[in-house]
Amino acid sequence: MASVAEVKAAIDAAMLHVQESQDAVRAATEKLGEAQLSLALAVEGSGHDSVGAAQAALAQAASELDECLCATLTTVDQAQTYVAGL
Amino acid sequence: MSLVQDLADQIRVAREELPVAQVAAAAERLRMAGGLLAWVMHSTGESGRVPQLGVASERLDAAAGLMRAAQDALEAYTLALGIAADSVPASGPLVVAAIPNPRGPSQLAGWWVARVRELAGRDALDDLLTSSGPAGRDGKPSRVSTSDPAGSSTELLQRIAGATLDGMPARLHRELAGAGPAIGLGLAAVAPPLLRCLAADLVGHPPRLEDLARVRRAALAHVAMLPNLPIEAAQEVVARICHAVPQRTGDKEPTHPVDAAAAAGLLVAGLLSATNRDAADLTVVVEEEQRRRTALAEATIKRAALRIGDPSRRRSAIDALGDAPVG
Repeated sequence: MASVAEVKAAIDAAMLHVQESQDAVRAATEKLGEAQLSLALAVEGSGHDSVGAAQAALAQAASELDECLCATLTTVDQAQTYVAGL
Repeated sequence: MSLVQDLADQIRVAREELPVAQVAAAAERLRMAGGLLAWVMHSTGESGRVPQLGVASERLDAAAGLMRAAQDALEAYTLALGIAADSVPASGPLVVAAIPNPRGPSQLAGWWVARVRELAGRDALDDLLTSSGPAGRDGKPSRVSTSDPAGSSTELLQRIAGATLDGMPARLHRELAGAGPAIGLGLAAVAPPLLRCLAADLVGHPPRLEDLARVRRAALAHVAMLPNLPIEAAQEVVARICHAVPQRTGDKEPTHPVDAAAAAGLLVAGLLSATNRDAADLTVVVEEEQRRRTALAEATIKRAALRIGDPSRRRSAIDALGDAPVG
């Protein structure tokens, strides 16, 4: 059976990884936004199906990153509550 | 430079700018965190209260698949313009391996090494332990000596498969022990999709309940490399791959997270061998699995396109669905 100190250490270490993951997701979101903008400027006026599919995929990817970030924020809140109750 | 060439160049830049590496880095970090939370869950038995990361991981995987799908669509567009598209650098294990691994000393490192030692048989691992600094208070070596430990769970999986298929238990034990808990526990997360892919290759279709016996026979071929590994840990993973409900009696303790992670590595080695592959082929299997995810993401986009209000767009989306490969 693990001690409370060990459990807290594990949660702290896990949340450090989550925090680093959040930083990476934020950086990815910013970079994705820039890529979407440069693509929009490049293909402005194109009605090609592949262009539409690529833009739809990137918009959906941005939304997934956003939801990922929200989910990790919820996890961090849950972790804080859990550690407080130990 | 012609207008078309200029456009192709701008599209190439946009494709290369997509943050696939950042998303891979984020996913690897979430896998590490998930491994630690699995340990907490196992140690405390409070599965309902311990925070989970499943939803976040799923979102991240979906984002990665969508970006790969966008890259493919842009490549198709460039080809349609009559210009050969440059290939986008791979974003698989090599990128993930470049992410710094915060190994460092941790309170959990001892827990991880102790369990690996137990699985390997104490005598088998003792000769792998060397003191790299002052010995601990009990006179025992303070940590495992590994000159070049795996930098990611995928890399560890490949090394484990290599050591197992080469019949080198000492190397296997050293790789496992040296990886540490953050990288090691990630095996349980990265292995199952690859196991499903390999099992599908073995039986000729996505593995089902009726394939359980065949997949189990092939996958369990090398579990003796960790002599004290509870066979249930490996059987549980195989059962999940074949969509069977793992058999478990109510009063039995849940599988130890280290056992599940180590078992996953040996199972991958078993299925690689059963499908006439070696450890180096794992990279190809990882790429196949990524392609499968991309195809799933593309199907998601097409489903989303069906919801578009414009009747002409709706029509073309339906046509495109008809062209989609089955399977």
